[in-house]
Amino acid sequence: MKLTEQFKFFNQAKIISGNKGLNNIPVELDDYNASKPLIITDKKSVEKKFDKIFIKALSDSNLIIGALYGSVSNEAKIAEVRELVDLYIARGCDSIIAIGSESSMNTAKAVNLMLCEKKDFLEIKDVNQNLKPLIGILTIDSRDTFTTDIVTVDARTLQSNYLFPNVVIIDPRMVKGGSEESVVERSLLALTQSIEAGTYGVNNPMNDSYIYSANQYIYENIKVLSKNRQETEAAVAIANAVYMAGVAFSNAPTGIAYALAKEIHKLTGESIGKVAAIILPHALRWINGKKDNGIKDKILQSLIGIEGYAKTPSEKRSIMVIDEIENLIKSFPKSLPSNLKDLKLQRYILENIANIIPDKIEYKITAKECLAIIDAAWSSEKEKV
Amino acid sequence: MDTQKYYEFCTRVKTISGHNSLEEIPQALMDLNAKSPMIITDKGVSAVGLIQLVQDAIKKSKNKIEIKVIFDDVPADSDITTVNEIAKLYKEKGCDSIITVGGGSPMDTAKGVNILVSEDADDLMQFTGAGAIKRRLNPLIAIPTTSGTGSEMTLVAVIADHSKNKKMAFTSYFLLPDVAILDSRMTLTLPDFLTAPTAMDALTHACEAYTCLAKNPLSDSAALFAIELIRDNLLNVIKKPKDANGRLALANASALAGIAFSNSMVGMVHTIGHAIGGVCHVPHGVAMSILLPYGLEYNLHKTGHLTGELLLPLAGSEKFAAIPKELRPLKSIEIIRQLNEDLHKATGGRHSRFLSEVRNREGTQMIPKDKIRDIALTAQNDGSIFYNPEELDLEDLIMVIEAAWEGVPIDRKKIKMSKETSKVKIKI
Amino acid sequence: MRIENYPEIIPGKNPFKKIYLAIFLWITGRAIQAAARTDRVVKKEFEMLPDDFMLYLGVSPNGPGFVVGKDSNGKAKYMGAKLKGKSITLKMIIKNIEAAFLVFTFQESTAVGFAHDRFMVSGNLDEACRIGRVLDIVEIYLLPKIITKLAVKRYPNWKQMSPIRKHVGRVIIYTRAILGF
Ligand SMILES: [Fe+2]
Repeated sequence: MKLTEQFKFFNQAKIISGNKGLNNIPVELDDYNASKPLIITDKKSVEKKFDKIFIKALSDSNLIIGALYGSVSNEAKIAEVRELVDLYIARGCDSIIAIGSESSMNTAKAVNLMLCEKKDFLEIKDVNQNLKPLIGILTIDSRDTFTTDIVTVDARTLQSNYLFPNVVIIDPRMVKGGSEESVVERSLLALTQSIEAGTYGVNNPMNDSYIYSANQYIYENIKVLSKNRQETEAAVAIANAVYMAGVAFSNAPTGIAYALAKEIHKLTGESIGKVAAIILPHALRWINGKKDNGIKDKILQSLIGIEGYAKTPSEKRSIMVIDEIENLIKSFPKSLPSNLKDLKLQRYILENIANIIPDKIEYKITAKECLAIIDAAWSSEKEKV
Repeated sequence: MDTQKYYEFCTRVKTISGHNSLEEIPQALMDLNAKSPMIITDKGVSAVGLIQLVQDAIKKSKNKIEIKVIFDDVPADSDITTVNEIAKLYKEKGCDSIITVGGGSPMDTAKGVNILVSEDADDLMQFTGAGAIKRRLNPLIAIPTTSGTGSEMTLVAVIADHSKNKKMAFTSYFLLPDVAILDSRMTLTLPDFLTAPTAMDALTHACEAYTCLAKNPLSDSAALFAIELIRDNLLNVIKKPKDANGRLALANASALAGIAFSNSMVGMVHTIGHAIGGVCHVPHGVAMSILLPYGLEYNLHKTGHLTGELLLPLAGSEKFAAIPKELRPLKSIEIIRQLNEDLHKATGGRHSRFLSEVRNREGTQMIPKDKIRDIALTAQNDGSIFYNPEELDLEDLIMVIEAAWEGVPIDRKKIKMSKETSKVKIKI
Repeated sequence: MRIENYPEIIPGKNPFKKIYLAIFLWITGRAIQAAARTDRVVKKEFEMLPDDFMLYLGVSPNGPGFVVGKDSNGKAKYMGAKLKGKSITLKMIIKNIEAAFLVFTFQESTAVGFAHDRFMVSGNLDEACRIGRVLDIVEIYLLPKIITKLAVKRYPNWKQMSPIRKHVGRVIIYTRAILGF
């Protein structure tokens, strides 16, 4: 392996994963001298009684829950953020815990920013200080930017090292259940984030260690978990992958499949995980044609394991990666069609998106190339790219 | 990959790696709201001009950073009096941050100083033990000049109190440096007889992290990358010391191995190595090089399958694929022994292969045979023994040390094996 | 938003687990004292500890736990369940009740408990290692083999611990642990 170019890596989020992980919250908060958290969670989590499990796990501790707010909806909203700032202050809280969906985490981060920067969220331009201790509890609804250094509220996005949660907790009690579709969506979104993080940037072995672990966990567990959502080991593994992919995503340039999927999701409401997964192999085929940025052959090792990787001749490894991913996507016909056409998206919207992507990502790509990738994903034909 | 039933992992250090990453220091300090750093280092580092490089990088910048004071007198066996002295200087000169440049000793010292100045305390001892530090400390930037200890990535500081003949361990996530700068220029001048054992220390961190009880998926990946970087670069760098890419790769390997072991701990190689350091003052890396194959060998019936997996980064995919599963664990060990042989040759015999061969500058043997029992007794009380897969009592320790002293493999019949957990049958 | 709709919550308690742990730790504390007077190896480990040695082994944040130290004659002594007013040289604290329950019901061996970061150890690491070995031996005496095998890495074979030493020792330690002489 060669390391010639400069790279940076940062991950503030400590991970605690496994049996009784939730019960460590008091000790973790105590590290920061905190003992009165504000809990922010969402309707989905409350429906699944995650709030009750959470409170029970804090038994026999000296913690007092300042307040538990369980009404965050699918998107974080600025009005809600402002009210929660008041609630935090009124109760004399000293820390924040976000449980469940991305919107809960976004709300929590925005509250934290307002408290520390002493400004309205909409006026904050950048972050230059440590924030209040923030713990994220990853559940089956956590995905995408949950464990990243990004916050989005009302279409306003900020990114800063300080925006990572301090601790992320994965506890078997919070990561089991849900539908096959939800397993497929969240696992394949994580896979897209992780594989693209390892493809578009320079060699970065720190980030690569997150990427390879994420890939490996997803590949080894997605099929088991999509069949049986109560399988503890697989559920914990996939949750781990979501965390790792989030960290890797924060430390790498945004990839094309992800960027396209995000825009499509914004405009159509279609699941970002499904769209990203369908586009991923086509985007990879495109980048594999580039001189400098082929797919790193070690990605294959993280997908099919040491034995299979070692047996594959090195010149075939990149192509094998694409084939493997394509096969994986085809294994869930009930949850995931193999092309964008079958998602019933409007064709003209996709064309508009192809035009705006080149300005949204660091990697050089033309609108025409974007459209070619979309075209290929539209009808799942390999030749187009 | 096994899903670990439970693990914790934390690498809260911002890493900046490259051939010109020293130039990132001013911005890194600004990001941490600091502008008056103190430099803590030792005479060896400043004598070869490395502090000058740091100063130049800071001077070049437009940011208004001013190095308030340079303390370059950290002794090799730094202790609490040095820490107190530096802390006083820090306060007198009105510093607001620390840049520590060097190997393990300046880094541990700097961490200790940072506790005192951030907590505004006089007595370091009140901060020993888990959870004693309850607030973020002042900004700390670590710049390693050896590629081995991985201290820039660890949350531990070991500080001695010579007057009480004690070594105290401080552990806290707040002791992790805010930033680690890996710059190839900082290790370019490291002579081969130091490059080799320090890199072997890093290799040991990686191998032990991967095979010991507290392993976890993220440590595993970091460890595998570290081993691969060492395999691809160590011998080259020994032969071509000015190979900047190779140097940078080794610096990264050391940091990655540091990440791995700081989160998953180390086992018996360190247990015995620490004791040899304590009893006979043998440099840490030297003991690690020699003992690593013995640690893996002793634990074969427990973690042989993991040792077998190490063959991939140790030997590369072609060789790995060509060797059947049951033979891989022993092959991994053989490759490490061969690496020691190669390093011995490449350094003109200065890299030791077994304990009886270790000599100091005057040429006297550092580990006389009659010290083995003392070493074993000391080893029994090293914390890393908790994390070794198989139990080690006094008799076991003596048996392993004797073998490493002679330079012969362990007689496997002498190992008192508990239940076999290795997933591959080991063929002897 | 009406702030009153989001009241403060004080998490509950789990008395069953706490009582189990209190009893288990009480017996273990007593057993260490007894073993230090009965078992050769434990006795020796204790002799090597400094005179001011005092161990607290307990559960965060409010116990239960026990204190074992050296008395004025340098003998191991069980000193009650409370930390208060004692100068502890070695603290071994398990992070929460659930983690302690896993370790002390042997769902996780002591070694695995360490590997799982369940313990917070402060003080001299030398002492922690000695105590780790003492605990292993005490568990061998206190518990039937089938359970102790879960708790320790390597169950001693007869060469290392003769059955007589074990069974006679066990009876003595049991009585001493319960009666406390
Ligand atoms: Fe080491």
